[in-house]
Amino acid sequence: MIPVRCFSCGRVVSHVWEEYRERIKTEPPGKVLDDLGIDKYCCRRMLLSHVELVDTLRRYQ
Amino acid sequence: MKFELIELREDRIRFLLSGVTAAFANGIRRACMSEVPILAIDQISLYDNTSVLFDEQIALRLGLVPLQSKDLDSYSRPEDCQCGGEGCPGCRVDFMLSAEGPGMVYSKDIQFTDPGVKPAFDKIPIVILGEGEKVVIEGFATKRVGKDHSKWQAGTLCGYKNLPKIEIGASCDGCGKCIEVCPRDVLALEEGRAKATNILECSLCKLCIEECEAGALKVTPVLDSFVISIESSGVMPVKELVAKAAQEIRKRAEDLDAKLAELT
Repeated sequence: MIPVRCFSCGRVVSHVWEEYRERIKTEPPGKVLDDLGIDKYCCRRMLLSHVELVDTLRRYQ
Repeated sequence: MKFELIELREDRIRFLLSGVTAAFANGIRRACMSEVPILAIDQISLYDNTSVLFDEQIALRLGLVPLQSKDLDSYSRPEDCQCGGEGCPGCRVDFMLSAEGPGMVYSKDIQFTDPGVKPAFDKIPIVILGEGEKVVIEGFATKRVGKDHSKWQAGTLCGYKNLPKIEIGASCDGCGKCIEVCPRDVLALEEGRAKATNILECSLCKLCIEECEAGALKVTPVLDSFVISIESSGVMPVKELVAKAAQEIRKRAEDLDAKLAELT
């Protein structure tokens, strides 16, 4: 699951996660982040570097 | 004291404050981050959790959801409450969250007993549920300050810097090296000389001084002027946040004043 807030600055980043994940399929991630108003590099790395593991883990539940 | 607004958005403000000490500017910054009381989910009881996340993870995620309140002043902090911190409607907002999979549970699914309280963002994913998975959560939110835990932090990124002052001496020959090296495009060439056109962006890195062979540049901080930038976590408009921070500082000063008056 995407962390609710940015680890460094505390800004909420998770509310754009689903839109971000959809849009990066067709658009460059940097542009999508600009569009979504995630402008600080600490917040940007939260979304850029996130790997969703929940669905993978569910199989071993 | 002089106030000049540079930028104002719903969640971010930048302003120039001149004629104050660094201690005062820092006081505002700290008050925004740790003195303005807001609501956040404090304790939860999990009656059922068959999701892939641990109970503790869900508790943390719920706590970090910023909560907006129409009438924040009607709640008191638990230690100041008439109930003595035991918990009553005056210092607590109860909530329920129950969901069954498959599907994502969002912050908007949290049902508060007070209709004036709601999450600042609707689409914060709390937990994803698979087929047949279930969560049933009950709990309450309390009003506290950022000092107690970062989930009660009303201002997220707050900072200030001294207003930079760039002086360009007569020996400037307009070589343009300082303009090239400046990472923030502060300088520009005008009439064959360098000129500071975008002074607020200057970070006082002094790369331009190193580059200037003529030694014409002088970059100094103005010691009594500050560019302050405050960002709100979404619980309230940033204008309100700064006003409340100032009120908190005033309240403390008045408390101190009253205590000193008792002594004499």
